[in-house]
Amino acid sequence: MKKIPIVAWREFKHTALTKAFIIGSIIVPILIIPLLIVLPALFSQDVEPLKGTVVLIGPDVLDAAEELAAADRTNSGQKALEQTLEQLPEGTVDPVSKHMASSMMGSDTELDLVFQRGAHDELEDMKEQVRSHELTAVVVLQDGILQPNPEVESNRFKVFVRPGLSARHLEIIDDLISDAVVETRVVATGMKYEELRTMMRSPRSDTMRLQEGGGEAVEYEWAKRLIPMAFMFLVWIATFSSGNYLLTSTIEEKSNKVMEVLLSAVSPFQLMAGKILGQAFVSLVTLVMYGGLGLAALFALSQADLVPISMIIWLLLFFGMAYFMIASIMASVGSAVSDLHDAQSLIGPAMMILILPLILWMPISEAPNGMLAMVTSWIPPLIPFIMILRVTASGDPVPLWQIFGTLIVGYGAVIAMVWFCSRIFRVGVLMQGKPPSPLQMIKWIRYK
Amino acid sequence: MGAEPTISLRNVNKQFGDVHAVRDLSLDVHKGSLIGFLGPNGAGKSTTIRMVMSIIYPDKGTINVLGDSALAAKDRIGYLPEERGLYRKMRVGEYLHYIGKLKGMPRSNAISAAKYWLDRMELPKVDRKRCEELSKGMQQKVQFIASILHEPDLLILDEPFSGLDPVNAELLNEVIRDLNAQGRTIIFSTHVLHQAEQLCDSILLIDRGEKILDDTMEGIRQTFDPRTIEVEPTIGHELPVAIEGVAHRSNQGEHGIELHLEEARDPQDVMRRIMASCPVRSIRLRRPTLDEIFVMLVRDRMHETHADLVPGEVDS
Repeated sequence: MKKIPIVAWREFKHTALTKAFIIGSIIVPILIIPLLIVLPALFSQDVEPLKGTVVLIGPDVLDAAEELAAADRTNSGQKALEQTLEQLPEGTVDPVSKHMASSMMGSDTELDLVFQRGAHDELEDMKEQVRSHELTAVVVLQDGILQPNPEVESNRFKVFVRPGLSARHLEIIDDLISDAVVETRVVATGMKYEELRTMMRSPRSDTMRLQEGGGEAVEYEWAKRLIPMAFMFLVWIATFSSGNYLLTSTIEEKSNKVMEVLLSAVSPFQLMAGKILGQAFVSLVTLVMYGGLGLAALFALSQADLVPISMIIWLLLFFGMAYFMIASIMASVGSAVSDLHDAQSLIGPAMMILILPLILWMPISEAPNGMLAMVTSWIPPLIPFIMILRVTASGDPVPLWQIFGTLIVGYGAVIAMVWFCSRIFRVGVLMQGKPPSPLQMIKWIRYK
Repeated sequence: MGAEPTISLRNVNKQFGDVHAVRDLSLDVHKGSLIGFLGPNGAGKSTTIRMVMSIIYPDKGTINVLGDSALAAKDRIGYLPEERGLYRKMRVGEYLHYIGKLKGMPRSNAISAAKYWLDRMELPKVDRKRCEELSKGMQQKVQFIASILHEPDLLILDEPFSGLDPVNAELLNEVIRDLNAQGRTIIFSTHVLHQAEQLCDSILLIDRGEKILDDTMEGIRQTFDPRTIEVEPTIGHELPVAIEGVAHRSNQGEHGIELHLEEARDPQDVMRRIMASCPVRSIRLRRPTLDEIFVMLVRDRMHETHADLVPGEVDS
């Protein structure tokens, strides 16, 4: 058994201590974080100004439209957000989140629109002027649109624009006309529109989470929703990236014909065990690195208590289960084929099953003790992914008997899978030529 | 030869699906011998070697290697497989240390042994090079070193000379002889039979999973009578077209015309007839080469099988 660590160390060294791994798996993700912060700010500088003439046909909303355009209210989402953020109590939002939220809202679009009234019989001429870029848009409002309680059919307007108009500019025109119609209706009743808007502003809730060990922290709903997905992705990425390394390194040893030399020194089981163990450490490095970044972010946002230590323990236990399941499949497939293309066709059916947790993320994290979650938790290849979603989801805790039950079933399945896959590996590594069918691989299990 | 054999196979059988790769094979390889393990393609050589290496296991029969089970003896065996392989991106020194450690060597011993053998095999200053940077012949020598680095008691070499130029082939030949002289048992599998004839002290020939020849070179020479006369007439003379006792003649060879004798003819009698009919510069009775013995034995078995399958067509 002392040969297994030798194989494992080579496997780890030639995967994790290479430039490709360090650049691809460590440096790139670290670089992505500042990029995520900087990029939106860069994009925000590149919005085209909206200039030109808009002709309004139908009920008169000209004054309101001109007033709104002049006040530049329709495109002030960022300003409004910034004002809201400024009004929040000191310390409730960290500067990074503030900057990101502000950047992601988009940017101020410079607005210089002139509005004109038009007649229905001039519509065709005006459409031509829109096509020839003389006009920016022609808006035709339905006759009953300014009624206090308009019919559904009357409460509409048509906007004619040139094909190349950007979605952002179209959205600004739409919002501006909609607001102008509403303002005209309100003013017609004798009320002041600005006062009404102020009254309509919904109050904000500031939810505070009372922490287990005393103290309180701002509750971010998005963080609670994202944590189960983040945990599952963490397990998924860590296991599949190492699984892929294992697959390619096994194929490489087979296609390089070095396999027979290795088998003259170690048994097929020792070789497979060493390779799986070596890649387990690679996988652990990935898990710790990405998980550590996530935890650091939570610490920075004073949200570390969202991930209690029990969650980390479950993560490690279910990660181990997921890794050994995926790794044994990858090692056996890698042993049976001579190139990556053949491997893809064999792994395809397994991937179809393993992609399910990604699809089921939302319903399971919303109802971690629902029927769907309960049933899928006991299907061996899905156990680790579904259970990590369940144990990290907010809401009622998963009963302990289910956690320990799935751990027993899952690790039982791991032992069975490693045994079956080692039987396949033992035969597969010596096979050359046409790749086997899944049925042939099952037959190999029985070979002496 | 009274000591326990290095390798002992008893009634070994191995089947892959419907294919009977090895059939009731029993053999002994004695310590210190240098044995040629021969056979046509698909004869079961690689399967037998893989069983000796405990890479695969027999369906029936027993295998004893170096006085132990094949698996337990793994670290005392060196193996150069026919299909060569190296980690392309790995450095030569690192590869040799890795294989050495897998064979149970302490790291420091693996390092010093790798250095010694790289020098001995005329591969200085390659230990820091990646395997993919080496020429095919150099890669071949690195793989040979990997098989002997741990000073194995038993060395199995499958086509060790393929891909080597004559200079390197001679170097390898010399090393193999040295290793054998140190008392190591060497099994040498090849299709280049004259190499086996020059190098080996005994021959094991298998065909379709069965042993058809297992003898020392001397024993083989005695068993297979010389049946070819090489004759070179003096200049200006020619051999008669028909010579009693000669079945057929071959083209002019290195030592003259080759005359193949009829069955049961006395070679001395035929040689006397030749010398009486034509003045000759040289005449000699040539032993059959290993190639000829190999072809004869394998072809005979093919004819037997053919006769079993379609008896009516044998004479045609």
